[in-house]
Amino acid sequence: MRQTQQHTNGHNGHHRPDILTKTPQQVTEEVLGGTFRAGSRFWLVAGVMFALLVLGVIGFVIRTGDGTAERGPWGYFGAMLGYLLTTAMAAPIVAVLVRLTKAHWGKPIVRAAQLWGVVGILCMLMIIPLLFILPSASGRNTIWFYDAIRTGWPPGAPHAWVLVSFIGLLVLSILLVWVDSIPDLATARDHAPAGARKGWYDRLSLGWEGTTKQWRMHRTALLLVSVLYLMNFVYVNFVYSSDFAQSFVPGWKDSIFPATHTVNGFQSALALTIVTAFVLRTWGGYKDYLFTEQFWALGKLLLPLSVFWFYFWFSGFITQWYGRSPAEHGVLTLLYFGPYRNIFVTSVILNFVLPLFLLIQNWIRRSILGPTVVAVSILVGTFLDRIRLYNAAFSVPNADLSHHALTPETMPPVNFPGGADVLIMLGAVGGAVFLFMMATRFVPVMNIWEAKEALLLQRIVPVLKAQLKAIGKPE
Amino acid sequence: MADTSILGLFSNVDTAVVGADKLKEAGFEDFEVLTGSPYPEGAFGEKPVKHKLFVFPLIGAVCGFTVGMLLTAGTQMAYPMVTGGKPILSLPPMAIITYEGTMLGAVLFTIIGVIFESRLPRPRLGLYDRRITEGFIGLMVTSSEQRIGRAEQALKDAKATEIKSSARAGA
Amino acid sequence: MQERVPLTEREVNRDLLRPVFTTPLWWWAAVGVLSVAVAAGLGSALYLAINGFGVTGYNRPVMWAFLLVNFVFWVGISHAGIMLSAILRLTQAEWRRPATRAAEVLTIFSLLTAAQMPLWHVGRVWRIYWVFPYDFGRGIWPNVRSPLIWDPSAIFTYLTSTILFVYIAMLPDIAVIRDRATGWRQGFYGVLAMGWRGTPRQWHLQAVSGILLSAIILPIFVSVHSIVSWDFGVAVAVEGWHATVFAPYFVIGAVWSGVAGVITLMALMRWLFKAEKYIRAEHFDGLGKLLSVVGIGWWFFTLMEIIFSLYSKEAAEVSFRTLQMFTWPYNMLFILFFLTGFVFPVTLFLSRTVRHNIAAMFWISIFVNIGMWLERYMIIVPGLMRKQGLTFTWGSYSPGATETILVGSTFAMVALGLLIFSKFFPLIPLSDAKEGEVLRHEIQVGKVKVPAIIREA
Repeated sequence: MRQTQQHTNGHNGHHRPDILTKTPQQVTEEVLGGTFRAGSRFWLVAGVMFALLVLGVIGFVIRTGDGTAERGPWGYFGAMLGYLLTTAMAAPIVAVLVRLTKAHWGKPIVRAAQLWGVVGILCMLMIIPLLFILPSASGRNTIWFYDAIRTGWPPGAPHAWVLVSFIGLLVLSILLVWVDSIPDLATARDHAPAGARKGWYDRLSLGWEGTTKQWRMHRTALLLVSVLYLMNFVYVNFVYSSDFAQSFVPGWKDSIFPATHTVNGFQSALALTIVTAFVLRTWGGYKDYLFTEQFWALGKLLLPLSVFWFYFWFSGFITQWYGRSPAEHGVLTLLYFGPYRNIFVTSVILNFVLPLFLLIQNWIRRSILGPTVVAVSILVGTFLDRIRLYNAAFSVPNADLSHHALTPETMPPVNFPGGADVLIMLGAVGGAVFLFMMATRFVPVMNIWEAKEALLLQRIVPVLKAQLKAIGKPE
Repeated sequence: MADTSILGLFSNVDTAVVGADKLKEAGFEDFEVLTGSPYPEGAFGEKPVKHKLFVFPLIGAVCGFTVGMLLTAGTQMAYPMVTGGKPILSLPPMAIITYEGTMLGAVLFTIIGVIFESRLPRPRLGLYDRRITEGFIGLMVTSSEQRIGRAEQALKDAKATEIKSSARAGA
Repeated sequence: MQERVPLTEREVNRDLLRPVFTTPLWWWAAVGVLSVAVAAGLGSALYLAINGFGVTGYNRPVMWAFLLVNFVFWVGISHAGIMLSAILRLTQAEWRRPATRAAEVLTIFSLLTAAQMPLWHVGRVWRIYWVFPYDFGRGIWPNVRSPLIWDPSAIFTYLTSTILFVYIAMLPDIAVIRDRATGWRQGFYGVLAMGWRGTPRQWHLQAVSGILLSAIILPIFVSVHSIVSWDFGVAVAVEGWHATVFAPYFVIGAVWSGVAGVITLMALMRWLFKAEKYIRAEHFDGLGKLLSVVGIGWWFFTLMEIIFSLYSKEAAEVSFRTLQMFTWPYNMLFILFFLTGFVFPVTLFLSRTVRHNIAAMFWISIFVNIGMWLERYMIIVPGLMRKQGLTFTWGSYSPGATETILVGSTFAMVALGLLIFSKFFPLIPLSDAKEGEVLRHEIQVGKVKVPAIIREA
């Protein structure tokens, strides 16, 4: 059957669509096999990542010696949290969007994207020291309009509200992974050898049996948690980018900035998902699950989001450039044209120019390597961009915080990384990857229940002489 | 010696596919299919379409970009009046108008490209049948007068509803 | 609820070309009434042009009011039209099929209407050609550093692209009409169809160009409303307008109002052209879902705009917001805007029952646009009333009869344009409907048949 299809297609020169060709039993065995057992290469990489995390902790301990009175020394630490927020914590958004739009191509990548949510643990730990360096909201511009003397409202601003947003992020990210994987945890429970692991699967799958009612509940719960995660993600970006960047720079009044931060997050989320999918396909043993189609579809989304990267920046920039007030001039100099010009230009190239000119070509989009290369470029670009942004903001000293504008005299110089900063940067990235890798040991990184759903709803059908893919869309 | 065209009309898709097969058996590989609906590519076993449409918007974009740059730079230099404290040859505003020019160029050339690559306009419709836009499928073969008989026979074998010929129509 | 029924090409032709080949009485009546309204609008525009702006309610410092509110409104409507069509083409959303043409044509007519507004607004309309770089003789050129020059260039690009896009995508349908028409119409459509025959090459290029042009027009669409927002936003002249969020805020607001406009139009088409088989509840469902997301996104930008306007606690911003939100009658308008533009539509769009109720969708979509018209009014007029820092230069505005008639007639203009278009070309694309029939499929899963769609590539 399959041979004849290939024959007719070879004859016509038309492309035959990729489709998952496995039995449900094979899917269960392969995915659970990959979850229960890992090779030595996996543990080697995990070990290296753990070592990096330890180095990061050492860097952090060194950094604490600088105290919390001034923010300058903490620039790289803040930048790394900003980076994790816009990459790892954004990745579950890809899963959320795929689910909301019922995009059939996304089924094999949603779980991997969602699993990045476990980095929420690291984010939660990193925000705690940052709360100590966050100055009081009174006497400067903040989104909280807080005036301790006259109103005292909202209480606890900004510290309590930042904390609330990060707790929400942690809870929802773990909840999202858990709710989504309940059917798979039940499958794992049924196949795991007796032991502690089986016990945990047993407890976490909540006695799932797969009744129609349970599936319906699961769908609703997943939708709800997905939407809540999306909303909280926007809120966290709003709070973090405003409280830890914008409000530290005198005269910086930029209503698009939280949105820009969020949209950058969507872009990096796609990039991280692509890289994850590439790793899973190349070294993770999921060659038969991830096809060019997934990379193509993600690449198609990455193109507009890379354009958005520039568009959101330009929208803010043109307004400030045109306004030409001293405050705006100071902000533009600090962020783009002064101390951080080179790093800014590099991130424009990596986040916008390169992705645009590569992804605009369909043959690059429609490949596995093409979108991956672009994704790596974006992850590096976003890294540089966050370094620039948070260092520029953190480097304004307390004494200038209440000024009306930055002047050439008060313009802070570049904050070059010291040894501790390098350790912190390595530790944050290593720690995030380590957490993700550990999560894949317990939760199947390939979504078993959605792979099985795809088996039901996707077929290759002949349309006259062509072989095409039919996708079922149950309402 | 002018080539002759014949057009076999089929009232449904399945017989048209048989017709296409028969034409291929008879050695006619490059027949034309005329349909009133877009069928998936390769539905009749026809050759895949090759086109260079993607080149057109690129050329258009380059032209539009050049015109936009020259226009914005030229007008500012020809009439160098500083307004709002902005330098003559301010890049951000030039970028905006140049961007519009680039996109306009890309669209215009794409439209030209679509028309050209669709092999339009075709001043004379030639051998055609109105029923094609009503669900009939047309299979058209153009060949020398000696070979055209074989094509006609193939279409007849496939039970074409009607066979039209440019020779008989006097075209 | 009308479920999907299989259709042959012949049926599709008959159903969708009915408005082209037959002219019901209501059509003539509607065209008659709308023509009177348009004539009234043009009459007041001429009156305005001859007598000058003294006849309107405009006065210092509110020199941008009704006409430019209406300009932004119609540019907004025009935006979502093509955006919808483009995004749905790019994502291969199956429920796009009946909506694309209507959305694109709505774009054309609302953009033409919008473009008229600044025309009358400049006062000396006979000098409108000054925006073009034409003066080789004296060497006086338009100031390309002004957003008021960016804007015409963007609108020109957008209008040209949209018209050409609609035309190219309509070629197969024009050929269908050509094959059915007689007399002078046959010649007319024959020329327009350019000899279309429906070869695989032509169909393939239709598909490719649909995607390619969508991909090119989408960035244009984003740029146009961004530039419209920069007309207001880039200069520091009015404190409340100088916000960096304006560009995406305007764009998403345009999508919000424009897609609602498409819903209004589709409901009307379903009723007037008896297109129940083509415009079904599932299409309204899809649009409603899309809109609930867009509506929430738009509100996020609205919140950003408000929060950051008060962020720096500047006196000008505070007085503007106080007027806009807490001072009669603007507080009442603000509440109306908040309810019609956000609360009602978004909550209702979240309900599946509402999304499947076409009459309800029709009325909600009108609510959205009442809200969005008010939104532009609330930005422009109170903004200008508090333009100056010194209180003795604060002013007020109440619309005069001239601009009210003109603004009212623009709704008739768009409706008339659409009606006349529907007389010559089908508003529901035939070829898209036919392709939908070709690509229909069903997958048997156990005892149920799941509707499926066949994907190329």
